[in-house]
Amino acid sequence: MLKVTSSPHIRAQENTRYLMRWVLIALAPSALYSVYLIGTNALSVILVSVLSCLGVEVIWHNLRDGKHVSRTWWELVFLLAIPLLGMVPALGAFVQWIECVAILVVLWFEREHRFDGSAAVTGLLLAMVLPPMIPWWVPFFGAILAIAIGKEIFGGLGYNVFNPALVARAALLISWPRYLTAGWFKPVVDASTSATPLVLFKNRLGAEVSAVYGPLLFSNTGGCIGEVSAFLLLLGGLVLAWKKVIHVEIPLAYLGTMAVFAALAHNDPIFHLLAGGAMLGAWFMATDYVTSPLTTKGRILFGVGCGFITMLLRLYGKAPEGVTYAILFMNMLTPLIDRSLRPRVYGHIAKPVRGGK
Amino acid sequence: MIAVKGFRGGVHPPTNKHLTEDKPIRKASEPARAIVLLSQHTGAPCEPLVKVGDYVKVGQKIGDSKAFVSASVHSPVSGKVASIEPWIHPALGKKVPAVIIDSDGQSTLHESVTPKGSAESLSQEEIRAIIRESGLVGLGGACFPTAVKVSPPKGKTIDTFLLNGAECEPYLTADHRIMLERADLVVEGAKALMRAAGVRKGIICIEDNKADAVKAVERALRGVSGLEIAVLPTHYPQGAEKQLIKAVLGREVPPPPGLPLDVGVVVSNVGTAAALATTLRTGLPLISRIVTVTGQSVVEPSNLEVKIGTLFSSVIQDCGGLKGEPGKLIMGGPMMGVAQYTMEAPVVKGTSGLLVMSPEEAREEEGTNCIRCGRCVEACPVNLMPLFIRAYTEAGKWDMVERYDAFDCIECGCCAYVCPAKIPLVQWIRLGKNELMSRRKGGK
Ligand code: SF4
Ligand code: SF4
Repeated sequence: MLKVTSSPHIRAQENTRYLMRWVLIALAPSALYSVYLIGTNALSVILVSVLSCLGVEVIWHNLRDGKHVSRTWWELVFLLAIPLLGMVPALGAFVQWIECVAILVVLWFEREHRFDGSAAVTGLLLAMVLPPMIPWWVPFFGAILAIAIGKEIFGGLGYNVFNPALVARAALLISWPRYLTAGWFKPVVDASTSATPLVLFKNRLGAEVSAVYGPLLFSNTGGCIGEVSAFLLLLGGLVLAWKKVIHVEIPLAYLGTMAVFAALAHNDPIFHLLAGGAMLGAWFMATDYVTSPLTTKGRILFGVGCGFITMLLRLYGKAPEGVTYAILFMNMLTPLIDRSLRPRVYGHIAKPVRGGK
Repeated sequence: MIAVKGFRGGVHPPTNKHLTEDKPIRKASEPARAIVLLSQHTGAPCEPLVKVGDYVKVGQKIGDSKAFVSASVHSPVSGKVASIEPWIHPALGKKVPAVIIDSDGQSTLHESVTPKGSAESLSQEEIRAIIRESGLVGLGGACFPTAVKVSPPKGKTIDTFLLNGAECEPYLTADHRIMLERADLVVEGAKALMRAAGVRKGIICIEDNKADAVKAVERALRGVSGLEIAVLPTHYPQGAEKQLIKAVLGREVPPPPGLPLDVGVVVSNVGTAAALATTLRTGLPLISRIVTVTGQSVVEPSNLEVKIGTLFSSVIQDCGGLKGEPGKLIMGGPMMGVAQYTMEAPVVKGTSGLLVMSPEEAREEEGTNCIRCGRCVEACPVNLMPLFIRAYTEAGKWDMVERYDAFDCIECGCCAYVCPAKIPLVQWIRLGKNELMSRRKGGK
């Protein structure tokens, strides 16, 4: 039997999973380093977040596609019931691990499911923007928000307007601000909660901000799980750029705009690039394919917009950090950018200027 | 040498030309039966000039049309017309009328087959008439009648003739071997084509993965004025007319129905030039062509000179047959070629290659939703946004399909090649175009 399909008859090797796998690989050093520095708390946030995202995807897809419906309902009830174990005093400290194992069991039952890898990326990114010292159910709940509200409700992978991890973070920030703005990690001094450099900066406590370059680069600073080392994030970002997984114009425009803005506002540009979520946001969040523009011009505009809003919020906003809202705002503009910055089609003359001769 | 400008977009798929690039052109065995389709070109189909039972000779015209845009067909063998019946067309995928001739094995030449002279000795009108009579079409695969191409309408001035030896499709090496082995024919034919079109300046365009062909053509060009070589970096789809013009001359052809001659250019394949030179020298019309028979599944991948009308199955037999079950048979290259559902289709003027893929190679990967990665936009040499054309086609929003310039798509396949979600973008775009076309016809 000869197979008859439309041309082309060969395809490049890269597929969606390949791209997602590289994002995970690029994030791995930062994630592992934070586990090394922070310990089991970081590990639990990362595992809960990643596994929950995978679990939500499976359950959602099964119910959406009408596959194994009754089994899936049982799985859902099972996974949602486990947090109740937290009320049993003897188990309270281990619930997150029980939940992880339970999700693994469910995933084993659903091993036929074809993961495209995007849920794992969302889960890991979500963990990276959460403080390590938070109750385990925050990432659990966040994962449900990220996959269900952030992505699947729009129609699944590719249809969401906003970055799912940031949607979840924004929602959590509004719902439980006290968990999301504390619980930072501060390695040297043993206080598990400490102000981040940006908070210090905001409160004009960081008189000598350049003294924190080293800590910012290599981890001795307070912040979210993903903020332990700007250096490792940059490294991961560069790997993605080298493997042509991400479009490098977004982080360049993003960080470049931040630096220029900071310099013009008589702030230390390097401090702003290294502090907070700038590296994570520019290299890993703003570069999300689904929610960023399709053309080079569009991506540059997107990056510039992100950088501008981030600095605006950092310098003049109430909260110390602005990366989340900057990217979400630009996500919203992405469909408009795509429609207005179309490439000039071969042979077409540039659009006539209105009122021209 | 010409400084080339390149073009935007495009891809670099594995070329896989090593299978056949060192194989000299070899004559295929004579077909016992020739199936000559009456429509092998762009334009009006031919009417048969013979009846069942007639005895025909090699080179005898057996089909022609009065239409301006058409190309006559000739008998590749001598023998009796067995029947005139519909036969499967390898590019159209449907049956078209064909003249079927049983060869007597004598290869008796028809009286009209006599040497015509050289490019210099013939006038513009004479060369045009010879081209028309010989049924020459663009042999790169487009099959546009050459006689029409070299007769630009009044008022259009053409300053440059591009000879397309880019052969950017993976696997194919027919043009490569022609330039290497028959460089003098290419140059002679180029001169004749330029004379027919009334153009003084010609450029032979060759991609840099064919260094030996460049050398051979350079040698053949010694002492020839008006013809130059442009060596282009290997880049798919450089051999597409519009991209070639952009890459070599930096000009952009206006959107369809714009033609190269709107920017003063005519493009013709090097194989076409060589075929014209053969006709001038021997008088034989277009009754054979060079076909690259290739793929991992072919026992002996080769470059064959095949009589038009030979069945694919016997061409493949000529190359030692197949290793195991075939997965896919493609006429042309892997990027733009047409998948066949039978091996019993005949070689036509546009058959540049036969590629056999193993079932393993033909397997298709299951895809995902579009992840909006922008790779298709980046790869499109026409600067379209293929993901949107596909999405609007799927949604049935035809005005948007048109607004995203679906008609400008050259179906080069770059977008679908790079898509990580493995979406058959070209198929969707074709669907969109067809629907738009039928709506236009329907007067909507
Ligand atoms: S290449 Fe495929 S996945 Fe990427 S934007 Fe185009 S259609 Fe979507
Ligand atoms: S849209 Fe058409 S022209 Fe553009 S890459 Fe796809 S097939 Fe080629």
